[in-house]
Amino acid sequence: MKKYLYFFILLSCSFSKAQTPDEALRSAWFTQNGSARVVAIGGVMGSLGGDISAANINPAGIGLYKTKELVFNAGLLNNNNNFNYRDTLNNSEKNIFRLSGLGLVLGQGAKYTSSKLKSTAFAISFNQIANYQNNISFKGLNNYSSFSEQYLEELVGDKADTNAALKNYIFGSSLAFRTYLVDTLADNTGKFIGYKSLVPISTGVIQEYNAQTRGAYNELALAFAGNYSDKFYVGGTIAIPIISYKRELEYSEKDATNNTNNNFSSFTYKESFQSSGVGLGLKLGTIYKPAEFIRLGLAFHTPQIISFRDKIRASMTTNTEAYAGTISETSDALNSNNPGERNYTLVTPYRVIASASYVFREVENTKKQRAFLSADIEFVNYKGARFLKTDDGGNLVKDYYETLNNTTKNTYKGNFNFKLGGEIKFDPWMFRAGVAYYGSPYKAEVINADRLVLSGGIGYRHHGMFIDLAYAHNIVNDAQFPYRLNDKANTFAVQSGNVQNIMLTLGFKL
Amino acid sequence: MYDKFNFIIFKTCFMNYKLLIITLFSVVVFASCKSAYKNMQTPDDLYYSPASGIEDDNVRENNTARSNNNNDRFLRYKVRNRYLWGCIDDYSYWNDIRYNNCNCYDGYYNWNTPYLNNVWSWQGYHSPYYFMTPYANTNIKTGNSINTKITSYNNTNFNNNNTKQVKSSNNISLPSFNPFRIFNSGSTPSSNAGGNSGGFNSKGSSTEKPRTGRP
Repeated sequence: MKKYLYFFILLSCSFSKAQTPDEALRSAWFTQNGSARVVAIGGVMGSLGGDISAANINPAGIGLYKTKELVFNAGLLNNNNNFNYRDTLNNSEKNIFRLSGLGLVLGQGAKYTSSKLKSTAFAISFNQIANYQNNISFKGLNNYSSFSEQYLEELVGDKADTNAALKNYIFGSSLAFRTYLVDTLADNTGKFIGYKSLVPISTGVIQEYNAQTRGAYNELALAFAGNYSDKFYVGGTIAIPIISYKRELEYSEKDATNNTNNNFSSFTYKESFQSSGVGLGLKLGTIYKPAEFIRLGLAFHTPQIISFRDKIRASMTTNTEAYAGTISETSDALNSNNPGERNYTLVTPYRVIASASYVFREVENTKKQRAFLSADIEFVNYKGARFLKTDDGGNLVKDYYETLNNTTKNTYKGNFNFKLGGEIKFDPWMFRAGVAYYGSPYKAEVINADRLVLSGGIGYRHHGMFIDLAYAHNIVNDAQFPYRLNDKANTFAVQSGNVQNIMLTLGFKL
Repeated sequence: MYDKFNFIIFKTCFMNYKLLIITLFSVVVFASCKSAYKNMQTPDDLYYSPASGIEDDNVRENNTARSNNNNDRFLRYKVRNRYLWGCIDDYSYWNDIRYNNCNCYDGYYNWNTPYLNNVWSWQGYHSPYYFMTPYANTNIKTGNSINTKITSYNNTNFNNNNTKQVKSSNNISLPSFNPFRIFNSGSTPSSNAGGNSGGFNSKGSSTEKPRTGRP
């Protein structure tokens, strides 16, 4: 009991400092993953049940089990990214093999025919909700704004003198100041009035952004469900999200001209960032069969409380030609070789799923089972993500969190996801197809972001085992911001790629 | 295209050969296991999940009757020889705390002993919580900051087209094509500024190193 309390206190505690709104989206906006059967039918599982993926979507679906089974999932992901950055087209690719899940379902029918509780079931599964492995690379000419301007905004906004510029921003502005990417600005009288960038923006720079990301959002699910009179099913899942994310970022700006006397040749900023978190959440659901063949489902995913620890290291090399030459600086050198660390708690957005299915036929003889069609509608309140603070730290930290949460609320909105899928069965073979559309989480209408998933697959079920194969083609529209500014229009790369997902499930009836 | 696809599969599989070995091993083990469904239809729980071992209510009544008969038989034996059968009726025998709380078969093919299968009582190395690393509550060091890296998300003006930069004018002694920012009039720069840039404690612990001088 003590261990349980300790564990829960750990998850409930908030720690110091905070994040950017991007981190909130990373654990909320993703396409549905699960068994190959669920992937093939567009991710619908809000009212169908009878598949281990129900533990992650609508746990009442586990209640349809009166048997026992063991399931393995594995797959291949192929990320094809197309970026249009300021009218320059870029492509990047990333291939991933993943063991994306395994699980065990233990269903048990009632002992006597007169029992109203017809069956109960328990499932434990480890499922990869989202995979973060990707290669985000783009470049283009920019004569409007520079990455270095975020340092100008920070130093001037904070009213930093040169001493603060040297010491108090070791993962960004201090590196820029120490390598002369930014320098002090004086008026005609020599008075220190602000900061300038050495980037000759009006003649343009070639900006290049390259981020290699790794990691995954995994979920350990413990699901319990009951079946009342074979008509009404209720279930709950204790979800333990386990998140690991790493990003190796290299960003550079190079002088677009051949002028060697304009005090700027190039700068390169490198950042190694990793984030790991573990949390707790609940998923609750019901399925009701008002008539033969018809199933209605409703599920609610509570916000998950996830405690994160982040680490960062950064370095910068700037060549300002005759101004100061080539100078390098690292955060390690300024921080006794230690990375920067921050700990905080993220409360993820809630989800609501409503679903309806037509299952033809619900009979024991598998030769007579013919088909099903199912549709889910899901609402995700992206703007509801919140970062939590500790009680200590004073008003500055309080202000920091208020700013962050207000910004998250202003940046994102709630939106709907729509899924439709079906299957035709000629026992022991099954053929499936599905489609899903995920709406944009961004409030800004100008950012065209959504995901369309077209999927299909086959299944074979015989001799006490089953094997399912699925292919899902995800058409991705999104935006990638290399940096953000307060007082100047922001620029972003328009992303329009696709993700090809091949998934294999092996299952054994026990 | 085909070769490329093969290469991708080979590369990704080879890189993850350990995972593959584990998976293949598991698959072989389970495939070779005796399944109750090998010689009959394999249930598809999505359509219909057959329950096994359901007893009719008549059977339930018979079982109850049999149980009652057992009780009657025990009482007859006890009356016949109190010393031989009386010990079975001992309170401490039937309520021994060592076996209390369900040393029983729970219907999920698990022995429901309190120290093996109670998720809240899992002990030691086999506990899922054994691997949870407690996070240290780090000290918070903050300075004066308006958190420009966060507030920049509120800026919903966008520009994805290259244009000519408006050059600065006036009495500022810098090349006109460099971006710059000027302090608000009347503000005094401070050495206490910053310290938590981007949410990190960004005051370095070895920042005494001076800035490299210009030539």
